[in-house]
Amino acid sequence: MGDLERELRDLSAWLDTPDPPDVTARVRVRLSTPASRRRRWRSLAAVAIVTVLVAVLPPTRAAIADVVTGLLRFAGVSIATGPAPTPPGGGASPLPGQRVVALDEAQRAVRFPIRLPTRLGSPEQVLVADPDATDRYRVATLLYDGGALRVDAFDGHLDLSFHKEVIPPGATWVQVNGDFAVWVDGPHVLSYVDRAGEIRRETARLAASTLIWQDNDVSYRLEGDLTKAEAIEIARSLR
Amino acid sequence: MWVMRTEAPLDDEALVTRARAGDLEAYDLLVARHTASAHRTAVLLGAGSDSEDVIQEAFVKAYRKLSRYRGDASFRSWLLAIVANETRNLHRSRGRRDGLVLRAAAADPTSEIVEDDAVGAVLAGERRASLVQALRQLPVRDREVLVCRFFLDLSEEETVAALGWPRGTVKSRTSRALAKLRGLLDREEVRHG
Repeated sequence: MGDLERELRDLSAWLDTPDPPDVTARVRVRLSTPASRRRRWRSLAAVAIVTVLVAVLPPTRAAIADVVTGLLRFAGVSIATGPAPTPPGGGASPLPGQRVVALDEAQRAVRFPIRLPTRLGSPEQVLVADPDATDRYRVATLLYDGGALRVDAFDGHLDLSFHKEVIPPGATWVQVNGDFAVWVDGPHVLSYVDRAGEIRRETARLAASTLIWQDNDVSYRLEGDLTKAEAIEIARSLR
Repeated sequence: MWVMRTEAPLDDEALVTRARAGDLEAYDLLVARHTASAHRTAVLLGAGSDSEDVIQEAFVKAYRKLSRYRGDASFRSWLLAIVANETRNLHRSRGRRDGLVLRAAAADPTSEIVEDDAVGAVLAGERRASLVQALRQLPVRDREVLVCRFFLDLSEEETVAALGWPRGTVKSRTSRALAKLRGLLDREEVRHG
């Protein structure tokens, strides 16, 4: 070991670090009471969460009803099952303020690092959406296969511990890198909940199979004509 | 012959196993045991007055991710990685890092034996001050790797886990950071004659 290295180790004892606080009790409270909802919502506000409403379409497209029977919030995404919503027409994007940008420009426009799935390589097109007043965007989208395959990355995450037990039909829990993720098999209606909390149903579109997971406070949504295993493979290849 | 058996305190692995099964008391013990090094990590990586929030968040996240902990690294270094990550998130959200603060010489508990003559103490104190000064001038990533390796005393492998960099990067970044630090100190010495 060199002199400088030794000096650094010695210096360690001289650095002023305040006495450690006792956080045991507070950690315990957060772990044992699902009632810490308030705190959760406060922290959610802090990360400026994006929420997507996913309504799983029942096999028959019955009458529209606004009643949502089951709700699951996960990774910045809400999954709701209910009586079939109207399948929207066209391929409109449910994301407000969406625009096409170059990858490096997208990286500057969002607050989180944009990661590319190595299984898919470089995206054909990059989109950002839902800017705030300072022109920072909440969502970055990577498009592949002429737009048939897409990866949405949202700034923010949701706590899944309260929702583990609830899972609507059509969606299943899977694992990505050892963490819980949600797999929605088959077409479903996708809407977007914007900054104001408004659900943008009018621009909703039909989504293909989707995998939703989160990593490092960023939530991801992979959508395309994929099998569950393929989707997980792609998710795991994010670098 | 009778052999007195004393109950050994449970090691981290045993506590992790219990906590994973939902034993919150076991997790309390882990939290209590690792609070000091978690806090020191947050402070040294620049979390400053937010260190307490950072470690609280880190402990909550660690509990929820326990199923992911494979036991290849020690629980401590796995936890410190989460603390380091939370600290980075904090930097990202507030756009500011708190620097290192050098403790007043008198407050150091280990100093009495080492420094018994006053002149030596003054010189050593000056040297420490310039070392801190030089560290402050280093780029963030250089400082992070030095903090992990020398202040937190993490092994190379543990630093890989804590910073989430490839092993080669940790190695090369460490030696580059040391070289830069040496350069800064030399320049300082030249200036002061």
